[in-house]
Amino acid sequence: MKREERPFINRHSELAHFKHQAEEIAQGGGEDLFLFSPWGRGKSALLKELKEILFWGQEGVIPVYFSFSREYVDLLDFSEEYLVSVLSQVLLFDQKEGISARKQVPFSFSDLQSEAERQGKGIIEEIILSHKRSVKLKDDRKGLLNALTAPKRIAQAGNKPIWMMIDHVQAMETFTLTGKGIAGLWREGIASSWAPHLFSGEPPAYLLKNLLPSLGPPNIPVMELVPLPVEEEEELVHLLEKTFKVKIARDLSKTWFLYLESNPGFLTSLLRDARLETPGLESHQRFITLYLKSLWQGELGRLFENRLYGSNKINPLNGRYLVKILNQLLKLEGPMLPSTDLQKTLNLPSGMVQPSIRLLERSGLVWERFGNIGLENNRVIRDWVEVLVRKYLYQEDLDQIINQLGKKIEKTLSKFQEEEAPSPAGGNDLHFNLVLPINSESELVAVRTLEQIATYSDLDEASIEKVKMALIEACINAGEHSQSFEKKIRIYFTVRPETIEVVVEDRGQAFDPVEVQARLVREADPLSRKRGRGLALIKELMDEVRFEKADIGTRLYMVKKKSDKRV
Amino acid sequence: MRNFKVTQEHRGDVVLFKLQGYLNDLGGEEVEKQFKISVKEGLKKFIIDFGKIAYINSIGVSFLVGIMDATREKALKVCFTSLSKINEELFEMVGIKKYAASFASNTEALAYLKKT
Repeated sequence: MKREERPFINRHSELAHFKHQAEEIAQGGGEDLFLFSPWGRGKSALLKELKEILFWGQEGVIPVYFSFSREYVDLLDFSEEYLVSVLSQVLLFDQKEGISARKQVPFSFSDLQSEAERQGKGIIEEIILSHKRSVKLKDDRKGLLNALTAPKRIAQAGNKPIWMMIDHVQAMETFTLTGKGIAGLWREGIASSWAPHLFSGEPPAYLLKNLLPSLGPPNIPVMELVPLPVEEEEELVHLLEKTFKVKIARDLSKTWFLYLESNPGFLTSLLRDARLETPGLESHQRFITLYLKSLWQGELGRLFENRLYGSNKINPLNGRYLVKILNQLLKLEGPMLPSTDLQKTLNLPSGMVQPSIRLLERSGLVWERFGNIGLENNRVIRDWVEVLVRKYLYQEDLDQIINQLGKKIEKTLSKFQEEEAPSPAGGNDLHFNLVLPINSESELVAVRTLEQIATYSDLDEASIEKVKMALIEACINAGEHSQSFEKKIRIYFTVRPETIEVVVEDRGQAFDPVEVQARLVREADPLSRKRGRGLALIKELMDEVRFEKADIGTRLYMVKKKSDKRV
Repeated sequence: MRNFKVTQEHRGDVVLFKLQGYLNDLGGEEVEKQFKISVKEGLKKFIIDFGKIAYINSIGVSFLVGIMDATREKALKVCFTSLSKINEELFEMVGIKKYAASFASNTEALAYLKKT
């Protein structure tokens, strides 16, 4: 049975691992597991995909996905939503052959009972009745226990394990029952091979310190979702380009993926903003501007702000203290700072430091160990903090930030590029790149550069003159017809003893050279009639010429060989 | 930024255009303009000296094509001098070489024009 096609970001090895895990669970060997990573790495996407695969692709285990998705009025409100989600998925699994639209629409609470009755599932009817009794008696504890233990009871009664995937478990920490967290109660529902739980949440340090111990003993094994492998970047970028209708130059996307900590969530947020800003990301400068704008007031900034301020009522005064703390941590030369020093240095009101640190830690922005704190070692977090500090503490505007922080980012990017630069395939190949503004006569800079570069080849003077003339024409063409977004031409030279290879790339609208020539000939303007010879000349002057569609724009590839057979 | 200059000298009834720098659309336009003025003044013999031309692009050369068209229509004489090898090839490619005699120096061109 083929499931509905929908976008997803690879994670092949993790899916294979979890599919194997599902087989173990089906054989009665299920165990709880805690999956964590900083936010944005794709845990939710992975869990949802896994659930879909298992729902449609096997019979041995019932997959159930639940996410803490809203603020609950009270524990009975939570219990009811949890039950609706769990029971619906169980009931749907057993009648999936009849689901024609491939969409799993959950039952309403009132429909659950009749559906359970129709399917002859007495245990589910029992669970529903028990919940109704708890609601009537306003018995939070009993209602919650009934909900949390439902999966293992249903699995046992149906003789089929249920795999519970509980997403965004950090939210669990906000629930209390008479002042105590509810994580302890969840212990009643876990540690059973009938209904193993796969908990997923963030931020790692905070959860490991504060939530994981409450779910044990014994401690649940943990697994980190590693950054998306860089080999999978291309597929992700391709998907995002399609989704957000924005083009990204290939040579930039990998560097930026690395800069964004190989975090699909960060890249997704950035490109969501790009959709509104530009049809193409063709230069680092455009990326930097978009990135800082996004941190300043866009998707990336909101991503952090929501985590920090989300459900916490922070007044502006507290907000300012938080920024001051973050600023202090950003300036830190060592990796950490005792929290007592922080209080003294910033002259913070007593009683403010610990709650602030806890809030920042819970948001995944800082870590705290044995009274020492530090800012997370994450480039994007650090950049966001710097934007925040410049914006709120130094009252800098966006242009100032782009100008100053942009330079720093540019340096980091160039380091990445140096590390990434592939060693040339041929040992004797020399590569030179040139980026020129499109303006009158900038092609002269290109030919003068070529003059120098050509000295590394064995081509005779006449051949080099031809390359220069062809290069002039190629630059004029790129400038005139591409309507480049960045108003720049990129030229890549490869010099070998026997050949000179020149690639002229514009990052504008891809143009059809044949159509351009035809249009120029058609034009009535006498000056236009004087144009249109360039491409023909290039073909005459060079040994190999071809146009390629670049990621953005057009690329003209030209080669001149040592012996000029045309002469 | 302008990388082109054209100067005009008169040697008897011959007009000598000395071109310098990068002959592109702007340069071509300038040469064509000065050429047309001379033709209007009744001059019929011309030398275009390319000795100090660094580069010629396809639009620049198109203006020269225009000039050569005019010479054929009005029975004018035009000589090219000091053409580099690449520019000679370029003129051949665009088909204007056959309409103008080409000489290594202005002296040779002047001698040729005096005879005609």
